[in-house]
Amino acid sequence: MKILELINPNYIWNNIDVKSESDIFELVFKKGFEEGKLKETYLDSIKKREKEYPTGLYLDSYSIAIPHTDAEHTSEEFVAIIKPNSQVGFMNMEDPDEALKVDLIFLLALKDSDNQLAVLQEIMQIIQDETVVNNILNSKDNEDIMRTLKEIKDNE
Amino acid sequence: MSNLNIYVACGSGIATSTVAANKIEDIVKEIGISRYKINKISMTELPSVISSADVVFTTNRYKGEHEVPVMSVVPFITGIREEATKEKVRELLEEVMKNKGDNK
Repeated sequence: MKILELINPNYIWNNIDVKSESDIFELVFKKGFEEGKLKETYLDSIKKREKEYPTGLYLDSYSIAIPHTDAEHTSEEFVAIIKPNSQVGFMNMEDPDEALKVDLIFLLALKDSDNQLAVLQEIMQIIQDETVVNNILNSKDNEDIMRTLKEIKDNE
Repeated sequence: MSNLNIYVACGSGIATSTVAANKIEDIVKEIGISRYKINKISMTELPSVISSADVVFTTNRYKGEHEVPVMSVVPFITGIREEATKEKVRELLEEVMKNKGDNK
């Protein structure tokens, strides 16, 4: 999968204590900014975007959020995975007045690149696959998550 | 007859709209519309272009006023009720084509 090129074990937070979407954004921003992957404007931009156009997705057995913001705030693209210790509130993409309790977060720091459609389709493939999501939710450490992702077969 | 002008909008104009636009293009081709343009756009840009659209698909709820048909296509992202949504998109596109005059 192409997405594997964008997922780095250093950008996976497994079993982390976070209370809100802001906690998550700050966590990822701190590291991404320090390492030059995210621009200074990223944090405000993603907070504002999530408020205006939320990214919580309700699936049958779990909820997932895919926060992201404009490409101009990202210097080097990556996908961060955050698995909180307890569910975190995100609003529903489909209905911004409905709060969802989210189990797993894929933060997409993407640029408008050629392989973007493929990467996004893979994200959708992952979140729709109950076995994969449950494996991620039950993983003990980051390597476990990487292993699960590496085992996913390409759709084509 | 002019092209069918389709807008696909999401918060950023690059993420979920990319996935949705791809699925909508499949349907457009499937029903045999040959002259069309699919534009990806952000929700914030939508109000300024919506009057030039024939039909708009979004992954977020569009709260602005509009005279053109606007349909939410979040099931293309979650996969839940995807087939039913494809059917609705097909029906809407066919209706829009009919109102526009057949330009297949």
